[in-house]
Amino acid sequence: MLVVGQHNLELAAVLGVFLILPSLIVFIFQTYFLKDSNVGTISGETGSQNVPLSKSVKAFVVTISSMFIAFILLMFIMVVLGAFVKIIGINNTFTLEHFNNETGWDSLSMSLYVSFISAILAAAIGILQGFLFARKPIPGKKLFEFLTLFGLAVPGTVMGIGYVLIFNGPPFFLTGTVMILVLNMTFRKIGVGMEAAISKMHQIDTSMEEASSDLGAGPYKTFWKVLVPLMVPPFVAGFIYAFMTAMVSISSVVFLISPDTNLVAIYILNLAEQAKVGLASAMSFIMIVIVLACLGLLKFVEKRTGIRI
Amino acid sequence: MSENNFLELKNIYKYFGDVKAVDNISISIKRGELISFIGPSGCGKTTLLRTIGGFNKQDAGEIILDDENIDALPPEKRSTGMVFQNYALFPHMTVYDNVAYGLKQAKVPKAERHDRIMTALSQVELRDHGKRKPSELSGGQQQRVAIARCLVLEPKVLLLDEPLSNLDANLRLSLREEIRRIKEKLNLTVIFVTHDQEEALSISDRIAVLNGGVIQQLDQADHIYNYPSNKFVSTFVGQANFFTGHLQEGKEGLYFDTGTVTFPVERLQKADGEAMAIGEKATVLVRPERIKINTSSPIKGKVVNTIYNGNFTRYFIELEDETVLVDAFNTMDNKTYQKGDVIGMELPTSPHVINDTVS
Repeated sequence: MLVVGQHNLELAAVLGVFLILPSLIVFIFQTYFLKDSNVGTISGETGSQNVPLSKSVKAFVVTISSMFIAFILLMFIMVVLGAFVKIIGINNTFTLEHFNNETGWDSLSMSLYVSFISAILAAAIGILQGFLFARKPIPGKKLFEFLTLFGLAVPGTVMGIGYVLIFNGPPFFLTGTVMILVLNMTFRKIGVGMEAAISKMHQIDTSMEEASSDLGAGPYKTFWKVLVPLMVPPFVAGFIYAFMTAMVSISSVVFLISPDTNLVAIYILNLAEQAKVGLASAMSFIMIVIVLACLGLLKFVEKRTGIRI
Repeated sequence: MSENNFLELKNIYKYFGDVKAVDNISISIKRGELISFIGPSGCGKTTLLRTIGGFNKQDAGEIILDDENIDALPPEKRSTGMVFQNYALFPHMTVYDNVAYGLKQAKVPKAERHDRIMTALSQVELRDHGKRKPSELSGGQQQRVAIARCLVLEPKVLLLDEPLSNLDANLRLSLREEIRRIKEKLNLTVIFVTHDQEEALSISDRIAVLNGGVIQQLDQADHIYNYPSNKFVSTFVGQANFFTGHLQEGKEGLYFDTGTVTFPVERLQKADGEAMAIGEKATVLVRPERIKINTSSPIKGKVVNTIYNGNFTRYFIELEDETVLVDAFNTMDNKTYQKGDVIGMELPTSPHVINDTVS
């Protein structure tokens, strides 16, 4: 809030460093300790039997989880109701007027546009990077992989402030442009496509490429005819995931928007701050539909191809 | 000239770091010959095969295929066809498209392409499976598609890298025969890499036994089995009993004396073709099935273990400090023996003298 409210960039940057530290520690822990320990666990055919829970414990756990589920469902119900009635709780007559909001639709289309472009870029760059890391001997690739994944781990706020600091002056004066939003979202999500591609590449034995060249295809043909088609599922999965998360992201882009480049997630936040609950609910409803559709599509792709995001 | 030296490897060397994977190997392969490379893992057989296919570049030496030096050619320019252990079919293409792949690269016109694909699929008896995806086929069928995918390009040499290792036993047998049949029919030159000695013995015209990047012996199957060039080949192909002793002459003729047992022999020939002199020391090889169980034989031993194998039983017989293997066919009238029985053994009169100067 220091950036937005008081224009104190330096202090914000310092606080940002504090924000990074815990996530950096967790991230390093996760990549270097958990990854290795996972390998050994998938061996042996008979695992330990699950001890059945006693009735009272079961009842307790079920109650707690039902409460959480109910709470989440209630939230969604309220948003949907709020979107379709005049003023929720006060005037409950059905209306579609909250959807008649030009600024809202503009910000939505801007969000769709930015998310779409950055998701395609993120997935494409990620896949290419994954392919290179999995197949070619690149010096320092562990470091590159780490940095790419770091884009996912670093708090959005930190990344947002960083972008403001870098792109607020020459040589890259991008503040307030669509470009800065696309760049920010792209680089945050490359890691997803990369990981999907690496895991897919490990499934594709090098003999597949050798077979192709043995049958008369040069390296270029092999790449396009064999590897690219096999990379479609991780690309699609990476794209949907990046798109979905870009649509709802707030923390980093909140620093980068301008009146001309407003994004719907932030617009909703503003509406709520101004107590325009009906309008906020209507836009939220649309967002819910989009994200649910993406989620469904992603699950479908995952199920069909065995790719895990 | 080129019929007998259709594929010629001349002094091939290949190093991986300090490891000599292939150490000065030279072979001449005839047109239409099926030759197997066998050996334990790390012996260089796959490396050598991949060098012929162009996936490795040899560090020294020449490869001549049909009078053409192919050293500088990448795999896609060599007229070799490689079949991989894991099939390496393209999962996103149908069987038909997999087989079509190479023809498309070669820009073969569509009508001719179709005919050739159908011929190739017929050769592996998968004519009706063109529309399927590889994942819808069994392992054996997938490997047949991989073979068809190579055959359709009419390669000068077919390279098979342990093609049957991922299949179960029965399929292995039938596909082995099928490869042999296709090879005969098309007069294909085939190099077959395997670690399975039985597979190699049954399918090959000649076998190259490799160890440590060196060819230990290159010969027909029966020669490899009966007259192995050294101890390694003796034990890698088949089971072996070794007896070390001296050739002696007595009243009733020549006999072999190991110090603990003696048995009559005929003239023994050394690896260099020379006759063994009286009193000379040597190690001889006796295959387990060449030893006859004969109660009247003076060589007696105690059965310490038996393994029943269906058509034959393997006896482990203690003879002084050594264990001798004896295989006896399970015919209806053969007597079987139990652990603890003492039996007599009759050793063959012309055992093979092992050249143990080379190990």
